[in-house]
Amino acid sequence: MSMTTRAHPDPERLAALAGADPDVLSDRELIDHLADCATCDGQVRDLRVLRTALAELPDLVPSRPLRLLPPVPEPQAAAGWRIAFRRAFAPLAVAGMVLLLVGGVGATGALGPADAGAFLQRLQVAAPAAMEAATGQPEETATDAGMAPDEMASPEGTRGQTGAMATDPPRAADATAAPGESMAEVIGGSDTGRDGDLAAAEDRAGWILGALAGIGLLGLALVLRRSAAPIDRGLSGR
Amino acid sequence: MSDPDPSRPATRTGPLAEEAAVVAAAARGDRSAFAQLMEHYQGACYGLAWRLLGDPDLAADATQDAFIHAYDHIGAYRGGVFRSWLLRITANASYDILRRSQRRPTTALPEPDEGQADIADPRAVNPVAESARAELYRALDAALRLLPEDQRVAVVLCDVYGMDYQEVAESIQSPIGTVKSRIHRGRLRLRVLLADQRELFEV
Repeated sequence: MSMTTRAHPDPERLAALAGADPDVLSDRELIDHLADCATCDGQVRDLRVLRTALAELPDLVPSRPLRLLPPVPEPQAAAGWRIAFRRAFAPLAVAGMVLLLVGGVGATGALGPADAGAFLQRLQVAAPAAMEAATGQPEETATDAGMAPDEMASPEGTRGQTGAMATDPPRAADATAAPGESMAEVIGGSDTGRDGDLAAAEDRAGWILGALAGIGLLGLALVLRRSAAPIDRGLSGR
Repeated sequence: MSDPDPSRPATRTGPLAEEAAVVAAAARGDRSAFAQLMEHYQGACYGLAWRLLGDPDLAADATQDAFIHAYDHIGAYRGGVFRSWLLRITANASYDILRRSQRRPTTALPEPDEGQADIADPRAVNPVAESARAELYRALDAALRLLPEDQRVAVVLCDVYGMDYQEVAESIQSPIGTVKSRIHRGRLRLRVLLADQRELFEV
């Protein structure tokens, strides 16, 4: 059988031979065929020239300027405190709101009426005694007797009332005001009343301080939130 | 598809001077050293990406992705030819984009007057030969773009950028037998496509 009548090999094997594929380099039958077949040999030569030309294809200039480096990553430590700040915002804000609310209500509403009630009660009890001490007779007696103001001012009336006052037990003894407590003391605060007022004022000051602390916490939370803001921008943009 | 490069380099980029030292510095975190490497090889990476993707913008995106990946993984570089390492990364980035885009690149031939590759460089030793060589490159790139996508990717990686079968198979995640078949069929098809331009190969 002549070589020209032999069937041509699979073209893919010729392409593999052109690429120096080890699988076909040792194929003696293929090599022998090429030695006798100008068509297949020419095809392999063309493919080798083609490969050589492909391997020489030049590099290309990018169509646009390329960024050679990725953006500088944010330092891990800075990112750490920013994350901590962001996480601290919610608890601080809630705590601040609660303190502000409770302190505000306590300072303006909860204690105010109570203190006023206690103050008025002491005033009602201590006022007659103070008046008695100032005028020399019980204020209620003169009023209850229906005496005219000029009668009450007469020497007899005054003496009588003075005598009665001297013999009667002090009315203030059954009241909350201390015996002998004057109006000025009640208004200005007796020792007991002043202590109570001071205690109430201290309590009120505590509530106010609590509210101020709440405002401070809210402010701190907002500052932390603003400080942590750049990491949000960094994560959202790229 | 448009020709991306009106002023294509006449040759391929060779190794950078004292490349090993520059790569070592980049691996230690020297950003200027890394930038020097990327600037030196950006033409090679972009050329590969463009030939795989057939689109200038996508090629630039792929090259950019490759640079970022290289920056993140340069510590894992274990020697060898740095250009080949970088080109493999670029091939992977390009193939990722190719799969994501799920669109076949246009197959239109470039306009004859597109670009300046056919204009002789007056500084060239032989302007006529340079012009003919530029014309050959244009014809080759045009023929590559006419190949089916799977064959084009395989031929570009193997025959244009010198990857072996195993590297190509890893890049496109296909069996070696499939890769070989695609390469061989791609070569045969290219030969047919360029049959009427044989004179270009006689430069």
